[in-house]
Amino acid sequence: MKKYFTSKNIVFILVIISMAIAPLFVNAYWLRVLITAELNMIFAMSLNLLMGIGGTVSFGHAAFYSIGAYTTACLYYHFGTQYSTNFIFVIIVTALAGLLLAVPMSRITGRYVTIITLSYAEIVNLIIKNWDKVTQGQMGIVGIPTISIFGFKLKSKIMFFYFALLFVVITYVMMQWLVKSKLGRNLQAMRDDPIAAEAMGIKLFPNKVIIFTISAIFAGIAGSLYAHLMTYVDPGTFNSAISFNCIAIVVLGGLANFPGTLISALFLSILPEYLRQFEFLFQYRMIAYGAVLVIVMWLNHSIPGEKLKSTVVGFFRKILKKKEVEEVA
Amino acid sequence: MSPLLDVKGLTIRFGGLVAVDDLNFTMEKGQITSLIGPNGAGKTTVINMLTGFYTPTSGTIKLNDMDTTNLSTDAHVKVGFCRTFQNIRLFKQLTVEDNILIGMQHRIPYGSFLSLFPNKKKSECEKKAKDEVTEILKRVGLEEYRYSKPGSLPYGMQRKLEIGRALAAHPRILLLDEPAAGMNPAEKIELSSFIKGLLNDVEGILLIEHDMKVIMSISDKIVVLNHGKKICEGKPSEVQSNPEVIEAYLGKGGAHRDVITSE
Repeated sequence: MKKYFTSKNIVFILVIISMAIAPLFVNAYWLRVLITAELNMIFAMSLNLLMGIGGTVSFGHAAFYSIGAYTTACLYYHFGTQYSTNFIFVIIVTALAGLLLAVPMSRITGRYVTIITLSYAEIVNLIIKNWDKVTQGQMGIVGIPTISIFGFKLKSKIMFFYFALLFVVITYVMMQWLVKSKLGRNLQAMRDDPIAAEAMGIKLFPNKVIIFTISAIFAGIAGSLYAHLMTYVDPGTFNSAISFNCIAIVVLGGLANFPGTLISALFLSILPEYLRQFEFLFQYRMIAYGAVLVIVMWLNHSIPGEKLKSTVVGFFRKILKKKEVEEVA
Repeated sequence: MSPLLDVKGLTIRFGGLVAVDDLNFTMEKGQITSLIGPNGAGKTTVINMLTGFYTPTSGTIKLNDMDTTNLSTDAHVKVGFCRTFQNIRLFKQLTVEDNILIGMQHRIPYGSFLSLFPNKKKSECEKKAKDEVTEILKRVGLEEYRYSKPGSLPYGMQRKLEIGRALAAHPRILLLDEPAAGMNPAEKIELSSFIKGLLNDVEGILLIEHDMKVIMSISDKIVVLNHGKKICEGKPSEVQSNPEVIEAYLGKGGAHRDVITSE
């Protein structure tokens, strides 16, 4: 039992408990913000799997989010199928989309990764914009009903909130299983040193494909929940800003640090909404993401980073030293 | 009986450069074979070919009559080659235990799909593997560092961890690329006896080293390379007195031949 109560898991449990009791204290508006935060949690955890464990920075993760959302929306629009059916198709379609990106990705490194992932997201967005027959193009798809699982409808937003929370828990737990397994170890070895990993007999290509596929599936699940939450999808929503926000969340939470991702997703989803009430800050609220990203990069990649500790500790030491000097003088 | 490793006519060209030219040598079971030569002689290239990182332009590599010339890197690990690196290449963000587990990953018999959820096979395999890690850590003397990151280990320990990681793969032939680089004399002596002791775990060791003391004290056979060509092969005493070797290391005349013989 001991290994389940690591400090990380305790943080996770605290986050989930505080999320679970949150609906008692908030109004409808903030409940919606919290649901968005939950979707961001799932989405950011999927990206953290790719960035933190797989070592690939994807600037086009919105592609999988939008594919998930559009798969749900299109299936409903054309066939009128319900969530339980759509869910399976979302998994299949996003898995294929992840597979498709994994093939070129496993052959390139460095800055090319940025270009390929960025362009992949653009290509997906362009297809959505122009494939009128299926996606309704610029008009978007309107009137997606709320989630119903085998006939059971999630009528209120509170039910939707708990349903999404369930997915957050499932995603987190599955990520933990994956990371602590042979597959997770091999992926981290590839991230740290691909050449040494190869020398130990790890096949790089299949592992890259697997991690892209899994990451894409979870991003797609978040996207499909988004479609049901908004009841409406249009191509304008899924721009590159979503990808960048997601990167900001992951970087703030810490690479390969999943409880950190949960907290930072919560923080960065609530912060821009909170800033809305200040008229001066309102128009600049989106800067929050960029500012957080810059600060965090400077502080060594994550909030619990070593540099933050040394900066804070060093600051206090300096003050103490000054005092000592003054006393001596 | 066929030798453990039989290398015949091994050649590799990079464009116009012939890095290794028509190399022939054999390794016997239970012996340490050393590969020496001046910088740029092609020693590491040979290891890269033996472990599948490079595909030779021509020539064959046979492990106990099995042709391994054109196998992929991961297949090389499966048939029994495992290497260390000249500049230590450990997995920095993984613990010492995980580093060893990566070494034995091809022997942990559950696949990617079973990794995704808890199941009986996975937990059994993991438990068995972790027991084995304990043994390997004991073997290389790193038990107390089990849960630390490799970056926090002293230099000599990092070398040993890398060797331990290679041992975890249960190789038949262990290829060590300059294991004594950057060590002080005391550490080198300790490392020499450590490497000698590794013959209990593997069938043969191919050693690349610059330090003559280490080479002369533990090698059963030495192959000398210069500009990609084998210039000499034999027991340490034979190699020491070979005029071509002295010339390659010290230039013509060999005024300071005692450097190579006595050091």
